[in-house]
Amino acid sequence: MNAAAGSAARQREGIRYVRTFLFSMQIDSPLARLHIATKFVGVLLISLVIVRQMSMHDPDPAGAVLLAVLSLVALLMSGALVWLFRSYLFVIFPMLTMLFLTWLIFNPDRGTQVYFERPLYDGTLTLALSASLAALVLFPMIYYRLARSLSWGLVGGLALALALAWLKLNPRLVLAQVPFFHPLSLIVSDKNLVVAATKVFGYATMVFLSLTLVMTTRDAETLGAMQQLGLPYSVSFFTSVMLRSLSMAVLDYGTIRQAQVARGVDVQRKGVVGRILDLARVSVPLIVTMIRRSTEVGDAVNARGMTRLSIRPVEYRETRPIRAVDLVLMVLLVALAVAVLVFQLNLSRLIGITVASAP
Amino acid sequence: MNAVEIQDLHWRYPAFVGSENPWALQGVSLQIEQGEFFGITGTSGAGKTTICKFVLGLIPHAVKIPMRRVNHHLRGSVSVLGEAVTVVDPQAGPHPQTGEPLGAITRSGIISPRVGMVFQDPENQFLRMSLLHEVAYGLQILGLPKDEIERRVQEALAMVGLQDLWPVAEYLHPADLSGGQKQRVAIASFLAMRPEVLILDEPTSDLDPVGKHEVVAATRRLKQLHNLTVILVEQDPDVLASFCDRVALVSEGRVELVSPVRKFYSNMDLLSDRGIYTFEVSRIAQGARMHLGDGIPLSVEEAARAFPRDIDGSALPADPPPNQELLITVDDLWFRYEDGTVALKGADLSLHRGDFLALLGNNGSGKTTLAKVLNGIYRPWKGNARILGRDISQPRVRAQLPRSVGYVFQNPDHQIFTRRVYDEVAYGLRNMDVRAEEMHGRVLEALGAVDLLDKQDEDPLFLGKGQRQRLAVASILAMKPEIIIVDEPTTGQDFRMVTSIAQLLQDLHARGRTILIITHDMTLVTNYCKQATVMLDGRTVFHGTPRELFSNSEVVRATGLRVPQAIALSCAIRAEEPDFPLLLNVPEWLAALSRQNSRV
Repeated sequence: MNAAAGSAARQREGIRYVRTFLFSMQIDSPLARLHIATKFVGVLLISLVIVRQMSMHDPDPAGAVLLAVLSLVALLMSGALVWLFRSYLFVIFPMLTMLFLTWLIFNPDRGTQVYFERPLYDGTLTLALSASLAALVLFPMIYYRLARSLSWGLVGGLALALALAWLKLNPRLVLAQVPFFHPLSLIVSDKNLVVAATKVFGYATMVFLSLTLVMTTRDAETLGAMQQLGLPYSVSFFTSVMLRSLSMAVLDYGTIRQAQVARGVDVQRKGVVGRILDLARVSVPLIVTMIRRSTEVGDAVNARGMTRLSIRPVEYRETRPIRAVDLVLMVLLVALAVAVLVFQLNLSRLIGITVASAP
Repeated sequence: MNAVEIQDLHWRYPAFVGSENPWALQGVSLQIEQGEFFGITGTSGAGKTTICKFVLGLIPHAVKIPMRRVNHHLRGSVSVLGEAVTVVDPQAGPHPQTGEPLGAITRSGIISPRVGMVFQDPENQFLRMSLLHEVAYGLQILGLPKDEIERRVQEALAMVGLQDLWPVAEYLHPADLSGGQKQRVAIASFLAMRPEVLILDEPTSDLDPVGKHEVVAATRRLKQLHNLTVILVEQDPDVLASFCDRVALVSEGRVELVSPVRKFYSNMDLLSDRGIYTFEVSRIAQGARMHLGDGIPLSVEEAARAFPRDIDGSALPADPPPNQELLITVDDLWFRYEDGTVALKGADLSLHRGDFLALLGNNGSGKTTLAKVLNGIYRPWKGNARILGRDISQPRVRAQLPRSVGYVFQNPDHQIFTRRVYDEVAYGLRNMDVRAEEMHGRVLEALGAVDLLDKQDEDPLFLGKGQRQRLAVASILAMKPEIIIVDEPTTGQDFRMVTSIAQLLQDLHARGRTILIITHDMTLVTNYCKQATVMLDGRTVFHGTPRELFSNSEVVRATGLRVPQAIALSCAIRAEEPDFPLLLNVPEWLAALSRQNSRV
């Protein structure tokens, strides 16, 4: 309640930010003024374009980079506070690097030029008993008996196994060799570098756009759009009650979690299972409060005069018109999608970057 | 014309599992005149809310009566503004097999928008996603034109003192509003619909005393403007007497008394027997068996005129010197929420072993935040806070704080984690890895202290609210913390429940526990607490005994605290007779008056 009281002080000064599905945004940022339908159609169409750009046979790295830059600009223009979503951006980069490496390994296309090649797997699985395997299994078991903890045992076992293999002290008894999957090798060729880069930029674009969408969309706006679409009032009414209950549940969850801390759940160090059980305990008070609330919400709805679902309240500042800028943007986006998906527009080819596959 | 007319109403809530419920209403008859400001008071579970829901038509029209056995659940009739809301025809609805009449409910039911009802918890009534649409919702349902909606929303916000929020109303999410603001919004939502009858069911439980008066005063202004009929369910005699024309006492499903305010509160014997809040000055007058000319005094002014001035204050109990061992020292503490709100701006606090300290202040003054910092839930931002000598800015110290500082949350529903009373008390001990034998002893001891030993195998969710609250106290008690913090334990509770919880805390204090209580209930402070710390806007503005606090008119004015009648009376008399003793509460007054009588 005190946080809210604090925001009351901001209310007096006039507010500049408004709550959205994720965080909040400036009331008058350019994206806040766009219609939600435009934003939604935009994300959908651009995602389709990206899927096409990432195609193995005809990748479009230049197009992917261009869209990634544009979507990053959109994200920064969203009017959300950068420090709020900064952590999300930090998470994206290691994730994309991992994906980049995976595509390099699993894409055997040799392109026109191979820069580096190293076989990783010869296509057969070898079933064998070895000294390092024994070390890997036995070390953690012994460690667990002594220390009642697993993680350092696993690290130790792995280190020991690697050391044995490296020192060539690893006698082994081969039991069987089973063909499985196909041979894998790490190939860095011009083609798979380009494809991997295209994918990284493509997925980054999708992440930026989805973040922008949820950070610049308000629940009230979504409900308005549902009515504009002509959905039955009961649908938007239930969605609205659901969203509202969710925001109450979030509030209750916060308090319940604090009450749990007050009861000493964090006093002892606990393992993952213990933490999951603690979290499961929250369900008892959370469900009880939600049930107690739901009967009162029902009464409140009735008291306000919403006694039958056939009642359709009149519109009042819920929906907003689709403006010229929305139309222009939508037409541009559709044109882009048609050009890429139907007429195979490829920006890289246009500006002369081509990567041919190996014959 | 009568706005509300209830005739011989009986009602039994349907029970879908287990045994039949008892009758919640047992022959209620009530007439409320049009344009009247009508108060209803009574203990929890007496049937006050049920009566209100009948006036609105929520009961029985939004309740499913099992197997259409109307006669088994409902008798009587309700009409509002000349319109029959509920009428039962006991001869109708023959049973399909036996032909025996089951009864039938005729008439329309809910007559929105002519009747509006504001419920207790403002959170549950906030149905929409923005302040603007919340107030507009009823008007949208009515199908009013846009400019009319606009005008009425703006007007309704102004009526409850939220006109400043109008320009940004569209952008304010319910989570952006404080509890007090939400309560005002709930009232505005109905005011906008221009009802002829407005029911307020304890609508001020989340507000501090000043906010409470403001909201009810706004409703009264409206009543004068539009000839609105208001039904106010309330516990606080101060609010009822300031605003109501007549008050009804509801007890165990019956209306026992309906009278104009003055006459109502003169029935001291009946009211105290039924566990209803009465005026402190009336209790003093009655307890001292004063024979006063025109009835019993209700206000401080009346009492000041009527009460004797020659009271000897020499035997006034001296305030006990505090124990010198400091458990908590807070010095210039700052706290900032994640959204940037600074809730503490240099708070100070000291708590000695054996203290019974009240932490006071209006909504948003930072008292709950401070208490949560002391329990280790929040991390302090700047400043110095030591508990048992350890610096709580250290994460390691903070993690262990629940061992030494227990925190009882306001709503017992938020802190019941198991389905058995015994396990609930044991929960905290299991988290602390207490040995089994010791745990068993501690659980039984804690349950004994709150008088719940015989309930140890029951499901806590089926206990009454008072018992659930006691259970919450027991759960913390079993962890044997040095300090117990109790957050607003009396909000929205009746006189008996408040007395019982206060008595429990006093017992714990007498057995050596150190207690810090956060409350808006100033009578609780004068009756039980030994020290008081007052916060205003994130800072500590006062520390001293309750006697020093309430006689300090400057602090009282600055912080908007309500002064309980007993000490307000002493202060009023002292303004003319400077030697008059500063009597703090009803027991002190009674003791002083009885000494005076024996002297005479």
